[in-house]
Amino acid sequence: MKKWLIVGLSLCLLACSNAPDTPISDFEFLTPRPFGYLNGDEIRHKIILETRNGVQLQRGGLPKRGAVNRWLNINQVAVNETKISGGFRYEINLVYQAFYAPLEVKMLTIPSFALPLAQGGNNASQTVPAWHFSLSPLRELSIRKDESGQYMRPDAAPPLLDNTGVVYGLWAALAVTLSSAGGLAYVYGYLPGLPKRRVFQRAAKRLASLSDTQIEQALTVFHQALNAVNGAPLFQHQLADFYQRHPPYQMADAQLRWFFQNSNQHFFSDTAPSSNGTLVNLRKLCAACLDLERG
Amino acid sequence: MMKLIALWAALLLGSVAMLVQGWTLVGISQSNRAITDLAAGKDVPLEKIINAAPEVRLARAMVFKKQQRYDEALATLNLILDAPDPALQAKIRYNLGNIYLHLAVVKTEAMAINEAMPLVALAKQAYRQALALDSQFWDAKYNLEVAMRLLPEMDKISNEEESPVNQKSQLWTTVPGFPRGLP
Repeated sequence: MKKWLIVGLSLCLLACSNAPDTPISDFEFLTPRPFGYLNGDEIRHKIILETRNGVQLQRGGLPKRGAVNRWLNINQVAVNETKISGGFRYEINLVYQAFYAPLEVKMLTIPSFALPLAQGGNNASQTVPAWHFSLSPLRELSIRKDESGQYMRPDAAPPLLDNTGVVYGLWAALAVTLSSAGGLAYVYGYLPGLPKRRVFQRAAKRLASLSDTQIEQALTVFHQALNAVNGAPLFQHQLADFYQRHPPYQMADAQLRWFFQNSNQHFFSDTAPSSNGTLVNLRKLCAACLDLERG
Repeated sequence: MMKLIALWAALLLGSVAMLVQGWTLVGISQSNRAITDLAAGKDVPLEKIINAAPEVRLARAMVFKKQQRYDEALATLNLILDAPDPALQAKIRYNLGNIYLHLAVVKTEAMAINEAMPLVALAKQAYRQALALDSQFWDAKYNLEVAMRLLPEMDKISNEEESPVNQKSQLWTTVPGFPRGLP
């Protein structure tokens, strides 16, 4: 009988405990030191709230930014909500600012407020307790003029305009300009010590000065240009290897093959080929190669 | 071909950006010279002020204040209250509060209490706004306290003080003036 009585009492105690039924599983009110504040200081409060059974905080019921009373303002209200198993976790950050000029150290109170909670049609609330803190005066009770005959602190000096960002921007623009100008100089072959980039530019100039009667010289000029790019004499059967080392020139494959056939006919054939249009086509090929050379 | 176009575009953009940044740098340098000149008490032509940066106009307002041209100083500061930089805005509001407080002290010493009261209220408002922008603005804290001592606020902290009996004493406590202490 006694044993049953103990079991029954234990069950009653368990039933009375509120752990599983309350909508809140955790409530923490984190506050800073409650002393040593001065007029105009900010005070930061953090509230951590965890709910169960899908109970949610009603944000409309939170304190609003603005004046709480004549001496206390709320400057910031930030709520961070995360979902946890069975409910939600809220981190509420409140930034208060006190404007009070006590004649001596004074105990003040940030008023209590309720956090409204709801789940479907059911409402509940969690009270955030009032918080007491002491605020000190900044100056002695009797106000005297300073050496310059003033009661107050002087004006703030107008600051000079900051040019750091503009200077950085100027350097960045200079770097872009110089690097792009350098790139263009390289492409157009104006950089000393990089002759290969000017191979077809020089060839084009020389071709421009030749006439239709100087086909052999023209062909020689273009051969020399191709040899210079290849680094060794280039023949038609080596074109595939040449393209592997200089892929852009593959785009002019048909014209280059025409050039080698024409050159072979000129230099090695018994019958002299017609030179009609050869120089013009050669100039076009040189211009195409010049474009490829420039990228 | 695309590479060439990209290089020309980069050169064009870089050159334009260099011109713009260079022009801005010259403008900043001129503004800073104007601020330095104004702070040294030198005159700066009006055309350099009208469209100048808020910092220059703040310097101009301080010159007005030194010359005791308070209305012009207040008008100049009111025009730049919404400066985009919060730190500068705090300084503008603090200096605005200083002008109001200075005028209030002058009026109080001349026993023009009714004229002093709204000026102190405006000074307190300006200091509060400065502190809302920068809560570590020590000079603003100090001068707000000066203003609050000059015109104590009516907000009562304890319930007893809010009783109707004590409300009668409000008239007395709102008369501006500093506690002088004992000799």
